[in-house]
Amino acid sequence: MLMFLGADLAAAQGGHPTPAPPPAGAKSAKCSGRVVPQLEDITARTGVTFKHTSDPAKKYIVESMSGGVILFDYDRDGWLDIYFTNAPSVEMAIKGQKSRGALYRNNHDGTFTDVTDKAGIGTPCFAMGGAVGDYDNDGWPDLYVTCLGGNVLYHNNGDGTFSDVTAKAGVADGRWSTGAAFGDYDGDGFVDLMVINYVDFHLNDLPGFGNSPNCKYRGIDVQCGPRGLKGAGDSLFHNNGDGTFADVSNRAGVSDPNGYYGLGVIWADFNNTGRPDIYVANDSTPKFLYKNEGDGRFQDIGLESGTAVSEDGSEQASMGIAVGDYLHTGRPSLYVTNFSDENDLLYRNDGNWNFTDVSYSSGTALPSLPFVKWGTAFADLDNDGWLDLIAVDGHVYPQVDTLPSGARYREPKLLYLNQTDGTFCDASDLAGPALKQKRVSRGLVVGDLFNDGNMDVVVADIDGAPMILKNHGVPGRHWVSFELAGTKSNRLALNARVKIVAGGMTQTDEIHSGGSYLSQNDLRVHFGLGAAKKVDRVEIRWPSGKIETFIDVGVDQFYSVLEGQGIVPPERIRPAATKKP
Amino acid sequence: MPSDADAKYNLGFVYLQQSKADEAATLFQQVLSAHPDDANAQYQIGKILMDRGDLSDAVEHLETATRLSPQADYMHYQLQAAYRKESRTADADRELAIYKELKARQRERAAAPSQQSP
Repeated sequence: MLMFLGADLAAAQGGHPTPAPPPAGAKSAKCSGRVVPQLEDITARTGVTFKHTSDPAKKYIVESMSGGVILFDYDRDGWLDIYFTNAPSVEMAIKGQKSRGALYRNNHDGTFTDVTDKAGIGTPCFAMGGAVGDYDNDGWPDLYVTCLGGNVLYHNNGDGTFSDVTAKAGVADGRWSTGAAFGDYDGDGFVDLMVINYVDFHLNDLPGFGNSPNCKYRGIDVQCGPRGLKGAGDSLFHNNGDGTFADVSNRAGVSDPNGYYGLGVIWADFNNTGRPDIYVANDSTPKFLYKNEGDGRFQDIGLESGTAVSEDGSEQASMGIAVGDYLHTGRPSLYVTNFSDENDLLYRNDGNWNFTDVSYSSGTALPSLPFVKWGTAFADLDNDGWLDLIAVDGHVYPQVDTLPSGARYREPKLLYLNQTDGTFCDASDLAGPALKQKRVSRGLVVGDLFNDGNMDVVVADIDGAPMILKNHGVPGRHWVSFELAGTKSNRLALNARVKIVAGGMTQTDEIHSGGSYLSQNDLRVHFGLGAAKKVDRVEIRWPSGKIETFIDVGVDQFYSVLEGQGIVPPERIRPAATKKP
Repeated sequence: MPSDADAKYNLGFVYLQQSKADEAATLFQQVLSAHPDDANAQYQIGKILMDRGDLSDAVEHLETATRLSPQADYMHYQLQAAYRKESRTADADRELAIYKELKARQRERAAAPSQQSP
């Protein structure tokens, strides 16, 4: 009898369980009868020449997992800059060689300039990704870089340079860190730091290539893991408010004593309590939804809430996370990217800590099956007022190309447009040639790089050059963008919630550090407005608990909002530079 | 030589892959008519009924499935989800605990032999 294979059967694919069939009612639809925004690859004319170091054989898992990318306005001139992380090969690392990351300053004209050397953040470590947070509330966004063997916290000095303050802050961790995110879990106005770790990996004790069942994929030799390798726990660092942090992982209940293989992480308020919770994407192990209890402790309710595994109870190779209110319910839902033959997971937030896996019924599951998916984001790419979804792909095993059929190493990208009824249509082939190009991608971030009201996309590849995708938008559609600055709340207003009413729609969004795959999106809050010519009402719930409202706000503009003082000129929320960068 | 029940079950599985739930359900019911102790057919029917929103009947089939195949973690997971949708929290938590225990044992079995340096 052909047995139902919904459970893990690790031997079938050498560590990758045989997938369950799509459930009854599974569907997907190609987009038709609507304008699809074109995402143009403009990398060649931006001045971005960064290339991620790559070992073509990828004999060790650590060589497949880096590639986070960061968007942040490091010089507070109102324009997004880009930081690409980099990692050497294992062979290079053993010899003590490093790979240079790159910080690109936005020139405001569609081009960028490499300012890495001046900034002093080129070679922090064997880097994976990172997150942005203003840990000292001085108005200059700081950068935390996750690494194999010791993370780095860079303090932004406000003059175009950064200082490594890791030792003083006490946030090195020291394991193989992957995802990280800042969030103020105790509401004291200082952002804390959640750091996720993957595998207990050491360069002086490498797992052998192809030498056990967990080092095989469809019968061919590949890198080992993560199954079969010892995992690593996670860290929560509480910000003491004086430039130092304390490790509160055990007390908080988020240390992951079982050592699940952690990758993506994000802080988000999933149940409108006013306190940020934590969601962790664990590879091949159940994901965590840590409910913030409000007393310094968290309770993992991943399985109870329906956000830990797939609809049939299978643990999946979860990597990237996107959070967004794609249904206009005021409740943020979750999207998690997975391995090939595993659909990406769309967990619809039904309220009261209940989520339903609607991956198949939403139309997002079937197109995702052939690919290994990584960075992902909810973003209103066509400015119609409804969040769309984008994800980037690329296999982990170069060796798959030797197989006669199935997944390939280089893979195209996925784009879904929101159909406003709980479903998405597949626009992957309709947004221009860039998304169809087959690449080995990892990090993805969204942000308005050119300040034209369209959300652009930056993709970091693990082999070679990134992609800067300019979004040409949809003519005639309006938008609005908010940049928040806390006073009683943390300076970057992380986890502030913004709700707008415009054109008969109510949209809600939250400011997040971290998310996607080891990456950082634009911290400004962007809303597409469709045909609406004004925003009737804006409501901001600050992390401090304060609520501010504004009415009759004009469209197609960037607004700066200072906690307690409303909409202000941009210079009021930006610190004075100590020197021009 | 596969039995008639095997053939019907396998075809039902293929119908599921083709998103033909009604055809699949018919075949699974035929399997159960001849073999009411077929745990996988009970599970598949239970899942189809859950997808249709027929929770009480889904629970009945899933309970039977877990009784027939107590080591199948995915069956316990599906049953806990059905109980939770019916707000039967205590029953859901009980099934979830069984699921967690079974998964923990799987992970222990999947632990690698010793690592080797190149």
